[in-house]
Amino acid sequence: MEQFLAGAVTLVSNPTSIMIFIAGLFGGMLFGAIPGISMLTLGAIILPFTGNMTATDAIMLYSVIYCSGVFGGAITAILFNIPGAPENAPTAFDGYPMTKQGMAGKAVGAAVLCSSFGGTCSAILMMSATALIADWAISSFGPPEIFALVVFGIAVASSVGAATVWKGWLSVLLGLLIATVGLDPVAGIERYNFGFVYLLAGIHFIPTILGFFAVSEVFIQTEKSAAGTYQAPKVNLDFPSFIDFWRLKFAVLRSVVIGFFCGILPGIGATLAAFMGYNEAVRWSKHPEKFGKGELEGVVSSETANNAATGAAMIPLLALGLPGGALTAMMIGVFQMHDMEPGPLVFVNSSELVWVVFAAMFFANISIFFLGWLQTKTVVHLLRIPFHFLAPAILLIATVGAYAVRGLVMDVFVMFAAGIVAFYLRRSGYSVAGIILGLILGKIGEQNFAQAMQMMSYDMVPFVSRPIVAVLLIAAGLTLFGNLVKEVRQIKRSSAA
Amino acid sequence: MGCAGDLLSVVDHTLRKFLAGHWFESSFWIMLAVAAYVYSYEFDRGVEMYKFGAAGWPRVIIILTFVAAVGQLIHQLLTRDESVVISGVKVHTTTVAPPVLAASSYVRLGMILGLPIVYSAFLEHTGFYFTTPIFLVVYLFVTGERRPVWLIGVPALIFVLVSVIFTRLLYIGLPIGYWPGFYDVGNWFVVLLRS
Repeated sequence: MEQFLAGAVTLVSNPTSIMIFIAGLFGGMLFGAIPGISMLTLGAIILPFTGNMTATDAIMLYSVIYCSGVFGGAITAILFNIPGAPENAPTAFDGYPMTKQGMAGKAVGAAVLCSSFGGTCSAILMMSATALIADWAISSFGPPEIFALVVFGIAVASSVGAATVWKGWLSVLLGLLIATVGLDPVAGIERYNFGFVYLLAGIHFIPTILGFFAVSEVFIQTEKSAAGTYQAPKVNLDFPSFIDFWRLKFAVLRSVVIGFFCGILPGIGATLAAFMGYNEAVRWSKHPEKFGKGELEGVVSSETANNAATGAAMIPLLALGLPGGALTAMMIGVFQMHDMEPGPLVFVNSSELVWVVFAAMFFANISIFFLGWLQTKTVVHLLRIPFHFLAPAILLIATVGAYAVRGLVMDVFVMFAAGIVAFYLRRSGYSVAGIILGLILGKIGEQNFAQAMQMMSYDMVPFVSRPIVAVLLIAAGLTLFGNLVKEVRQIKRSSAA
Repeated sequence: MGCAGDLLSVVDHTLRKFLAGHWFESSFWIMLAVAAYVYSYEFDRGVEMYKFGAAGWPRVIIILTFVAAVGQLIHQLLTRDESVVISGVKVHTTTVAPPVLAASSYVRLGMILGLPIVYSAFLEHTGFYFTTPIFLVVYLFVTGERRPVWLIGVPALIFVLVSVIFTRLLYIGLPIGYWPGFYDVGNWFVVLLRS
């Protein structure tokens, strides 16, 4: 506690640090909200300038951007079905239907509060148990465990959002198949590129997400507009009540745990945290059929989980020098620019830096609540603009977002093609979420499976004998079995009818 | 207009049928699996450090896709229904009810879906700064806006805002085109925005 207070005092007593904190907070929220132009873009742009800052200010700036950037994309996901980043994609599943039902204020309010709560809990956990948790997670979680976690994630994702078990699986498998396009992660052999140089780099998930969510939504609403059946969403600024949150207390706590746990694992991070948080909410819900149609719990679960991952991601970075994602990798660069190495010694040699960063992340998550509240009161009014004026603007922002990721026009083409595919798939009972999760997890799964097999000399017995692997694979198996039982019952009911 | 509308109507109905019908739908997935499996021989090379090679992982996915496609077909044949029950609630596989459109509306739908593809095809050649204003005006026209002031004003506002934010403030290099003339226009615009 003394160390936290010392860090907080160091932060607030320095005007430069305060300015950097505020700039990081607003910058992260802004960049997080623009699809394609994520907090990573901001991180990359400012990286050269951090050489002129103190090491403490530079690392603190990135940690604040991380917190606010993860939250930023929730607003556009809820209001326009445009997730600012992949970790906000599950927020759109229920957030956007809520907007269409005139509950935008409630959805955004829940996102604000849960992002803030999830992030703050994560920061507290991070402060209290960094060394302990890092030691356990890193020593217990190798490629076999990450692969098993991916299998579990896929098994759960296949049972969410599709009309049948099989359509759920086909959705996830389509995503996994798309993820195999490009160079294979083991030896760099070209796969499914059909001779196109562009496809060597694979199909990026940002244009695909923009196509599946934003573009297909524009197509669907414009078609409705053409048919005269479009109904503009009502603008409503009602925040969720305390009772709403109390009802969802278990979902929030579950998402904090899931998000924190996923955040610790290198390469997994906030995206899987958000999907897992959402999927588990569906799995534990008494009314899973309500998800995807405007269920507040969906927004709460994904936004709590993705922000809970932010504090956790700092644990392997600071304690072991292992970056969990792209932004934390940039932080390694910042450390090196200041002739420092993150790792266990950083707690001894640069204790002040560590606690200023912890304090900054804590305050950043608290600030999200107040800034998000103000943002809600203003941004929701964008819904008053007629949709046929918003549609070209959404398409244009999505175009720039898709192009800016890699500077490839082909990504824009992929985005529009994905939009057309999703336009038809969404009305046929397939799960867009499943496709996206398959696409994101495909490469992670394959890479870790290959590493696991090499580690185990291709012997499956020691592989499945690892306790965490066994638990995760059994959980995945039970999920599949449960789905198949439902399927059989459904067929029996149908035959009896 | 009528002929094009009829054609697009047929295409749209075929696509919907293709995705919703028992045999069409399963055939698509099975054909995809077979084609992907056959193509996997193109990169089925041994990897010294990895026993399963580059084709191992995709083939597992393909086989599972085949199994799921057969499962879906069996499900549809046994239930003989396009609707399913999820957690005790009957849900139609057609989750978004497709509105019934007139032939002229199919032309509009075709343009709504096709215009962005045309736009992205031209983007690299003619550049963002030349192609985008035209795309915005045409798209707004297609979506039903006929008032000249709005038809010009709204795209102009969107274009200027997006260009200033991304080109000047965020310094993102958008395509300026490489066809003669278009490159000069794009480049001139970038210089203007950044000066």
